[in-house]
Amino acid sequence: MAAAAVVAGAVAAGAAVDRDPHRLASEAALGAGLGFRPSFRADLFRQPAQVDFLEITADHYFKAPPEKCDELDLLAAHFTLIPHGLDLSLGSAEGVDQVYLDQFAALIERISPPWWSEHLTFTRAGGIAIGHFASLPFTHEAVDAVVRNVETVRRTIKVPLILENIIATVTVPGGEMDEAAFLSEVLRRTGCGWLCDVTNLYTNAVNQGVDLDSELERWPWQHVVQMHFAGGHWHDGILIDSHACPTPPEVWRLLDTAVARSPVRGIILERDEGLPPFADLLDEVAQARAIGRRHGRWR
Amino acid sequence: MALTRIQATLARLFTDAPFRASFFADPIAVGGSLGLEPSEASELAELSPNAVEQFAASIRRKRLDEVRKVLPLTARALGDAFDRHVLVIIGGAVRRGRHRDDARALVDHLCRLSRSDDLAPPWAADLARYEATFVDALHRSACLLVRRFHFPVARLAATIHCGAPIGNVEPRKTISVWLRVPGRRGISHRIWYLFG
Repeated sequence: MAAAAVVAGAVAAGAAVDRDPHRLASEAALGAGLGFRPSFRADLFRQPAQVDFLEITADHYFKAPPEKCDELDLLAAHFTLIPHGLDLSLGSAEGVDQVYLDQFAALIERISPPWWSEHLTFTRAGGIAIGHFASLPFTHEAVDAVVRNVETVRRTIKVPLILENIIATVTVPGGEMDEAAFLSEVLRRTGCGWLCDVTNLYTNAVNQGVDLDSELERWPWQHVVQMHFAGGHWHDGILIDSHACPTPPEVWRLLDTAVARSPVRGIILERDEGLPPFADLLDEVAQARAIGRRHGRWR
Repeated sequence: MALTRIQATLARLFTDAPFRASFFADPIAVGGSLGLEPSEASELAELSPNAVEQFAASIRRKRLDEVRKVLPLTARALGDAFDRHVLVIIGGAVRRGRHRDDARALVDHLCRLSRSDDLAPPWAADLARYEATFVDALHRSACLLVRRFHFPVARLAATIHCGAPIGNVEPRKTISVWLRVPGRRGISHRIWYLFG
């Protein structure tokens, strides 16, 4: 059912299947899992059946010491791993860093994931490592830059790439479209899938005073491959995507809506700070799994 | 290409506080110094200064958290002063590298303060250097690192790790060696306390 929805969605979107030479449309559903953090490794291996797959931070395994390589091999022996990058800077007009890309390629070669992910952002420019995900100007020139960089990446990495929407703290002036149109155009031209961060969507809508419910049909749900969700916190009147709190009811509701509209094949709970007892994380993963099941995304 | 110039300017705005202040005071002149056309500078001047400052603050928090994760014992030893020292090193400087660069910069900063007797506690620079060397060794596949310290850093580190009170610490010359043999797991670490 999920595979049929994927193909139908991709065809409706116009040429995503044609442009994706890398089997993305035929990948099986993974279910619900966790963004791996070493601090809960022991708990994870006590109850591995409760987690369908893991997302790993790719950068942590670049030029890794033997202990991290052992950890990677251990995880790969028990779970499907999805590498998630932080600093490829796919929106950089200067292009991507070939050294970083080669390290990413080596990791992917080692663990053979069904897909991998990066953020739709720029993290480097003018010789500066920003250290965070910076919003791209929503312009055709920025779309062109992403398309060029994805083509460069595909010459090195053949495994399908999916792109994540980020938190937009700063809106860059001169935009020629809004975020939904920008994302849709990037996905249409690159053939990449969408890693839909539901919490980022919700957080941006809250901070920008946007009624997301009235705009849902404008987002490219047909391209969704994977989702992220988490809870944030309020700071000085701004909702911060800190991955530090339980997922709030509003995000659960949006996740349910998004899954209903998407051919999603995997949902990941991201939790970085203020880690609760592991059972609490598993409860949230189980809830996400149930949402996917209820909408027929997996059994 | 306009996007290249705009992204380079945004990167400076997000990471360099003095540049941020001067740009919003005179965007045409400051933008021109980075090669922006007047129209591009005027457009970027429409950025919300509050939003840029919020984003810059989130970058600072992220970098601060990263340094705290790399040097947790030093953070515990310095208490509230830790954030202040880290903010000094990341306040106006642009970062050209990745990963542990900020932690290395903090160690250098603390060593400078220690040399001029401006650091409290005085052994904090040694502790930071000791902790940073462990991290350095952990991220190499093979190494032989030798470091000399003025204070008994290994005991200090163990005490802080246990959460026990430190009390008064007398200087004691210490030599530490880290050895990682290619193909082997783990690091061999030895400490020698010298008299005199």
